[in-house]
Amino acid sequence: MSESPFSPPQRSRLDPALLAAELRALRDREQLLETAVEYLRLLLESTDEGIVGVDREGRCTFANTAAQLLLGYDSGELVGQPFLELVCGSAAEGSAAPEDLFFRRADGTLFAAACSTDPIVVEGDIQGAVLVFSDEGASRRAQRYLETQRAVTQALADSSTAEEAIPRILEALGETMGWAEFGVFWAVDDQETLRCRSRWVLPAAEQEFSEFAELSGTLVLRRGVGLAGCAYEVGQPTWLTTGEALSNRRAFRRAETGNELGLRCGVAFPIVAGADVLAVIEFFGRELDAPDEELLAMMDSLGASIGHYLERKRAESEADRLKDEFISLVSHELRTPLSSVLGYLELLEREEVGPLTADQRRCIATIGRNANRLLRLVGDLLLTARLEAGDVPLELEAVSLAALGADALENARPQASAKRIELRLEISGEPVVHGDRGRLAQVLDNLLSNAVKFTDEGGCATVRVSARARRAVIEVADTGLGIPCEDGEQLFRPFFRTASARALAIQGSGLGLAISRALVEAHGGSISCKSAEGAGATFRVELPLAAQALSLAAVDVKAAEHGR
Amino acid sequence: MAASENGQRYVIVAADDDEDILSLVAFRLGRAGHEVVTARDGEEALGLVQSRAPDLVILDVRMPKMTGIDVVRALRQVEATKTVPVILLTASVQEESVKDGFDAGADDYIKKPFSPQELVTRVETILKRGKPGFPR
Repeated sequence: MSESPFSPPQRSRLDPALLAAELRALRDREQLLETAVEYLRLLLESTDEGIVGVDREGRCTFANTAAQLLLGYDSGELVGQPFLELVCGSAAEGSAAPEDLFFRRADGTLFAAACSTDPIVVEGDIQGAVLVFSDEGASRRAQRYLETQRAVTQALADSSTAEEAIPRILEALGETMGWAEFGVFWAVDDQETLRCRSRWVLPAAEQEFSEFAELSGTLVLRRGVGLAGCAYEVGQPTWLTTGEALSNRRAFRRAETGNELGLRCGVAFPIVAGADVLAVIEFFGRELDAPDEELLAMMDSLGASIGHYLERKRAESEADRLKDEFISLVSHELRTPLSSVLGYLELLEREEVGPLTADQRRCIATIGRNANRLLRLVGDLLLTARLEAGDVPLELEAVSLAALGADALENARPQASAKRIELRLEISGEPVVHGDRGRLAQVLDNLLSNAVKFTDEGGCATVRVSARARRAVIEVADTGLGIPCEDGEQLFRPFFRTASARALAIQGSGLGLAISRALVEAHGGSISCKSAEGAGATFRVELPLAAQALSLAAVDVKAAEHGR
Repeated sequence: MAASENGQRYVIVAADDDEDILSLVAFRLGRAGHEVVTARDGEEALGLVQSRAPDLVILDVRMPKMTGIDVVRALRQVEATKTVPVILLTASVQEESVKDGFDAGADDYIKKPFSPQELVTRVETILKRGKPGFPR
């Protein structure tokens, strides 16, 4: 063995130099020891697990800070205590498996602990034991709260409106928290009161809670009144424990029924958006004693995320309402005056109010042309808005594209002849589609009127309709200005106009192609454009052939016949 | 005033809250030889139909006090006006309002903007179908 600082000095006591050297060595070792002890303390304090040493009699000889916190003791209180008295078997009878070990806190309450023990052996003698333990319930609760948060997030993601989301939020919370039997979603209304908007009862407890649920449904809580009213007032999670507290709470009108049910705990937390409380969610149960820190923290964060969701939905529905209002305004307020303009013009034109001079007739024709242009623009704006809202029902029937093409040529003829543009129709096969005749005609009119608009005098515009293997194809080709490549993708966006259209002041709102694409896509088809600047443009529409729809119908008929 | 194109002079109640449209309807049907009684809201129209027992009624859908559809519904509930032909005028592009109109018991509808000539044709077509009281 090496020389110990405590071993008696072997050399002469009288040698002062030797004495000084020995003292120095002693101080160095003391310092080394201090460092080692400090390091060990740091190790023991840096873990969340409780570490306790006990002697052979089971008295506590050492406890780290985590152990004191878990057991609810102040610093130093544990040392000397008969520690094994704090450890008991399962609270449930008959089971004492190690994983069901319970520890008793200073306040007498129990918690389930995960615990391991090892003997301390010195030179073959058992001197005591070391216990390492953690609060297993807490980690299980943390796990559960994580699930709760996930369930609520899922409920929000699955709901497109607040109306759908609210019952789902209550259900997700109630079922995952693990102790709740009854929940209420209170909405804050204008008069600073809370009204029940949705209720949730644990399916197994439905019968028992029917009266309590009914009572909650009819209550109107003022700010500060009742559990939910308190959460509303303080803007933070609030809780009540034990039946006594339930009945003592200021004007808790459900106290009697709550006590009869044996409710021991209620938690309420506000749903907040910025500084505003939008709603309060409240839960009651018969099992939990007091909400823990994690539950309150979870409610804080859920309150904010649900609030954010509700606020966003409110803004969305407000935007939808404004859009509907706008559509209705355009529809009514713009069309009504136009109706007067066009109606009175007709009276003039038909000379129902007197004969016209040639000049007057020309003026009236100009007014009429422009009024009609305005009317078309109003119609296009409305149709764009409705297509965006998915609010354009199609009346489906068999439509011959050849007939549609011929009609489109007739409609375009006045503008075409004014510019001496030749119109051609080429038909191959018998293209018939299953579609809305009026809407498809609108697409073809749009494409052909563009072709005429963007083609110089003396040019040519061609409509080709054909039936391919499975698709009906419409092509509208012109010999006009063409479209620069870089505009290709933009063409079908609402309000987009090419530079040449603007430069040459060619009339148009930029809505025609956007509408055409939406209508073609509503028919299950596609639209594209091929062009080069200066070399004309060809718009191509592909639609499913009606034959497919018909053969499907035939299969249905056969199936029905077999079924008889 | 001259007799109508098919020689008969009918009494027509027309209602619209837009004064200009109302004058247009009254003027054109008047020129076609009919007597037009005008109303500016739904309630007034309902009262006029009850007091004047017209041969035909033209109602704007969107009117104050009672909508055109409300008026049709009310007319269809009373024996005396159960069968009087009704044409609705609608500025709305929403198909539902047309469907609501027919469900309520309207005989025809005309979308605004309309041609006054077309209105006369539609009115006279309906009137030629049968006199009021003809089983529907």
